[in-house]
Amino acid sequence: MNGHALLARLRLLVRRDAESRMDAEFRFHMEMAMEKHIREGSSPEEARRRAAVDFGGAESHRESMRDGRSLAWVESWARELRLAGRTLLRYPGFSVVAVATLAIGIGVNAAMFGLIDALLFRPPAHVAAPERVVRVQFTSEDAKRGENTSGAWYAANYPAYEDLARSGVFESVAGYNDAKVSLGRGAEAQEVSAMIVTPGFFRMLGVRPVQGTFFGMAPGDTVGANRVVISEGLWNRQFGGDPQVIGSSVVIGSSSYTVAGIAPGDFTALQDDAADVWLPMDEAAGGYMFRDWKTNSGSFWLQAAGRLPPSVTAASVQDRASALLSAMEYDRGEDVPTGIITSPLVASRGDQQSREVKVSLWLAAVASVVLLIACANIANLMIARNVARGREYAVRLSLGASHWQLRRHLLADIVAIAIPGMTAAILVDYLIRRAMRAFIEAEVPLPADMFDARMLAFIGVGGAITLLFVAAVSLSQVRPGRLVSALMPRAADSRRGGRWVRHSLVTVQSALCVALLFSAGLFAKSLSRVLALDLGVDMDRTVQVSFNVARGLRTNAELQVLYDEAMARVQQLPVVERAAIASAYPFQSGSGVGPFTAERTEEELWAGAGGSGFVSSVGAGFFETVGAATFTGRDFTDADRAGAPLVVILNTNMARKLFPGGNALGQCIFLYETRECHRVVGILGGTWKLRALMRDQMTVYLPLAQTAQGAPGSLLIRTRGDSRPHLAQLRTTVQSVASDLPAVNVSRASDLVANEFRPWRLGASLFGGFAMVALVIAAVGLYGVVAFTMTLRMREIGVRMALGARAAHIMRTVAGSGLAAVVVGLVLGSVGSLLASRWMGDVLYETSPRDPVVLGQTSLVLLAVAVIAVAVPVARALRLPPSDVLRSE
Amino acid sequence: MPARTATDALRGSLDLLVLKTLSLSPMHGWGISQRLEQISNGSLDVNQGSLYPALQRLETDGLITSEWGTTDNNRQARYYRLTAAGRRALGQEIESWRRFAAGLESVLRTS
Repeated sequence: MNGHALLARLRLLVRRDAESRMDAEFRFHMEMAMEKHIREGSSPEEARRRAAVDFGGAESHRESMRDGRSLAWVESWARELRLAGRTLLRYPGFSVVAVATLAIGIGVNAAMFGLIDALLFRPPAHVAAPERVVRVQFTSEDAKRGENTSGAWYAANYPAYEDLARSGVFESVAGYNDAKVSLGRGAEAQEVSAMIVTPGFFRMLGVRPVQGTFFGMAPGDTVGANRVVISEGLWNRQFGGDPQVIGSSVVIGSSSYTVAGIAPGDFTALQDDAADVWLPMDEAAGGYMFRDWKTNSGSFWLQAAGRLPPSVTAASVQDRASALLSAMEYDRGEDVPTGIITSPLVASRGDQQSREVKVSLWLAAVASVVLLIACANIANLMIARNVARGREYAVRLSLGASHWQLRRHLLADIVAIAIPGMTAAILVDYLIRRAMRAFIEAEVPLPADMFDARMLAFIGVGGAITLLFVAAVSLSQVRPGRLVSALMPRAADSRRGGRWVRHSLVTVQSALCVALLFSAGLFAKSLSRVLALDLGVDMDRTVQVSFNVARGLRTNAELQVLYDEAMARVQQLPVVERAAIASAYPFQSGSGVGPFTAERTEEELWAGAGGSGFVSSVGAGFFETVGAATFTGRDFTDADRAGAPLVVILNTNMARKLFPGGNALGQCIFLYETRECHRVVGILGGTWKLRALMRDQMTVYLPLAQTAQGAPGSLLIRTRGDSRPHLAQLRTTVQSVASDLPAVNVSRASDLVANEFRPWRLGASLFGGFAMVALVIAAVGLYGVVAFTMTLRMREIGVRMALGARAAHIMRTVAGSGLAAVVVGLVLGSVGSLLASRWMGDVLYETSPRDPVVLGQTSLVLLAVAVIAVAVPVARALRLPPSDVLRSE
Repeated sequence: MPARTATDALRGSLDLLVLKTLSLSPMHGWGISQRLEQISNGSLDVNQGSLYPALQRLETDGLITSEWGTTDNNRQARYYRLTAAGRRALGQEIESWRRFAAGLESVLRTS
C-alpha cells in the first residue's frame, strides 16, 4: 500500500471510530431523555420531540465536536493538500517548472554529496574496524607529524617493510603492489588487474570471503602456495558465478594457481578501484615480481598498511616504528627509511587530499550554487503565485479564515510541490550517479542503489532546508493587512508588492549563473588547451599492441620473433597504414638516461642538473607510424642496425639543453660513459613520456637494433582513418600469431592518455552541465517574473497602446527592469568570480582564472539568454489587442 | 494546560459547572445535564447538546477523562471523571469566577 492510501485509510479509521462513539453517546442521551419524558407522561412521539428540542441542533454539535477533535489537524491538512494538489494540476506549466526545479536542485546536490561521501567519509567496504587500520608510508627523514611530508618515500622497499613487520609495533602489517596480469592462455587470455599481496593481507584487513577461503588467514599460514583469490566481479564475468571454480586451476602469467576463494564484489581493499585477482607475494607471483625484490633496497615499490594494536594510537605507533627503524643497523646504502608516517583509511581524517577530492569538493560547491538558484526560482514562483492569488486570499480572509488558516494554505502549496519534487529528486540523483559511474568508470565507489539510506537522508534534509527558505520568503510576502486592498476594484497596482524581492532574486540568480558559466568556460578552455597539446602522437589513428609477458615466459630472442611476426601479419591488413616496434610502452614507461654530453662543450652534463632525461628504444619508422606532428630530420630506418653508425633522435627540450645556440641535427652526443658519437638524425617537437602534461621532459630515442639487450615490448600501428572500428580485427590478427599466447593488450593512444585528461574532461563536462542547468533554471525564473509582471500591468499597457504608444517603446519600459536586474547580477557575479578566482588556479591547465575573453563570452551568453527570456513573454503580451485587454478587467 | 485568565470566565461558565458537577462523582453526559438542571432549578437553560462539545474540549485539555461503562439498567454509556489537573483547574475556575462576580457586583453597586 502506498503512503497516500495508508494515510487515507488511517484517517478514515480515526474518523469512523470517533463518529460512531459520538453517535452512540448522543443516542444514549436521547434515549434517556425520551424515557424521562415518557415517565412524566408524554406519548413516545411527544417524548422524542421534546428530547430533540432540549438537545438542540445535533448536527451543529457534531460539527463543533469534529472541529475540536485531536486529529482534526490531519484532516484539515489533508484537505489543504488536496486543494493544493488540484491547483498544481490546474496550472501544469507552473507545477512542472517548480517541481522540476526542486528535483534538479536537490538531486544534483544529492549526487554530489554521494561523491564526496564516497571519497571522503566512507571507509573501504568489508574492512573490519577500519578506524584501526592505517596506511603506512616510509620516510627517509624523521617524520614530523602534521607537516608536509617532503622528503618522504611513499612506498617502501621490501627490506624496510620486513623490518617493520618484524618489529611488532603493529598488530599486523601487510604490503601490496598492483600489476596488470595475464589470465589464461591463447585466444581466451585476458589482461586483468591484480594485487600482489603479502600473505597476511586479508587477515590484517579482516575481510571475509564470499566463497571458499583466503590465503594467510591463520598466523602460521604464511606461504601462498600458488593460491589465488578472485573478485566476485571476475567470478561472475568469467566463471558465471559457478561455485565449482573454487579449487580449480587457472593460469596467471607464468604460473598455475588454484582458486582459493572469492572476495566480495565491492571490496576494493585500500585502493579506489577493485582488483580482479589477489596473488600472494612470493618468489613466483606469476612472474610479475622483479628478480631481486626481496633484497633490493634501492627501489621503492611496496605499499603498506597496518592494523594498530588495541588501545594504541597511530601517533605512538608512528613514534615507536620510527625509533626502531632509525636504530636499525643498515648496510644498504644511504637512503634508508628512518621512519614511517601513518594516515587513516577514511580520507576526511587525513591531511592529504587527492586531486579527485579537490575536484569533487569544487563540484559539490557548484552543485550547491545550482541549489541556491533553484531555491530562488521556487521562491520567485511562489511569490508570483501569491501575488496573483491575492484577491482569492483576501476573499478567504474576509469570509472569516484566520491568518493561521491562510498560512496553512500557503504552506500546503509548498508541500504539494515538495512531495513530487523530492520524489523526482531521488530519481534525478540516481540517474546522475549512474551517469557518473559510467563516466568515471567506477573509480569512485558511488552508492549504486536508488534508495541508499544516506542519500535519502540527504534528500530529506536538503529538501527541508530548501522548502523552509521558500516558505519563509512566501509567508513574508503575504501580509493579511495588505491583502484586503486587493479586493478593491482596479487595485492592480497594489498587487505589485514583492517586486523588489522578485528582482533581487533574479539578480542573485544571474550573479550565481555568471560564476558558474565562467568556471565552466575556464574548464572548457583548460580542456581545449590540454587536448591541443603536441604529444608527438596522432591520438586517434595510433594503436599500441603489447603482449602481457610475465618474467620467464619468453626470452628476448623469442620476443623479437613474436613481435616481428605480429608486425608482419598486421601489415597485411588493408586498414593498417604502417607499423613499428618499440621497447615496452614507449609513452608510459622509461628508464633514466645519463650522463650525456654534447660534443661541442666536452663538459660532462649530468642529466640531473637540468631535470632528468629518459631513454626509449624504438624500431624503424616509429615516428612516422605514430604520426609525430612536428619532426625534423629523418626517422630511424632498417639501416640503423647493430654495427652501423650510432644514431639518436632527441626531443626539442633535450636538443635545446645540449645545444643551446644552434641546430642539433648532425651533431654528436655521448651517452653514459661511452666515448662513442651518437649522431643526432632527428628532432621531435612535442613529447609524451610518462605524463602527458609534463611538458619539460627531456627524452632520447635510440634505435632498438642498436640497444644492447633491447627487447621489443610493444607494437605501434597506424590505421587508415580512426582506429576505433579496427581494434577487434587487430586483436584477432595479433592473437593468431601463436596458440599459447598470454593476454594481448590493444589500446588506442587516446585511451592511454584518457586517464590523465580525465580531471579536465570531468571538470569541463560537469561544470558545463551544471552551468547549463543553472542557466535554464535562471532563464525560466526570469521568464516567470517578466511574464507575471506583464499580467499585472496588462491594463496599463492596454491603455498606453490604446493611446498610441508603440510596441517597441512599451517593450523597452517593461523589459527594462527585468534586464536591469540581470545586469546588476552580471556585474556582481563577475566581480565575485574574479575575487574567487585565486582558488580556481590550481585546478586549471595553462588558463588564467581571470581570463577576460572567457568572462566576456560568459556575460554575452547570459545576456543573450536573459534577453530571450524577457522578450518572449513581453512580445506575447503585446500581441493581444488592447481592446481585449481593457475589456477583460 | 495553559492557565485560564479572568476574561475566559464568562465563556468558561459551562466548563466550570461541568467540572463542579464531576467533582462530586463520575457521571455520563445525560447525568450531568440532569444534575445541572436539578442544581440550578431549571434557571440555567443549557442547550443539552452543547454539553458534549464542552466535554470534548475539557477532555482534550486533560481536565477530565472518559471511559465507556455500563449503567444500572445495563446500557453502554460514556462516563466522565475529573483528573488531578481538572481538580486544580476547578479551584482556579471557582476563584476566578468569584473575582469576576465580585467585580461585576461592585460595578453594579456603584452605578
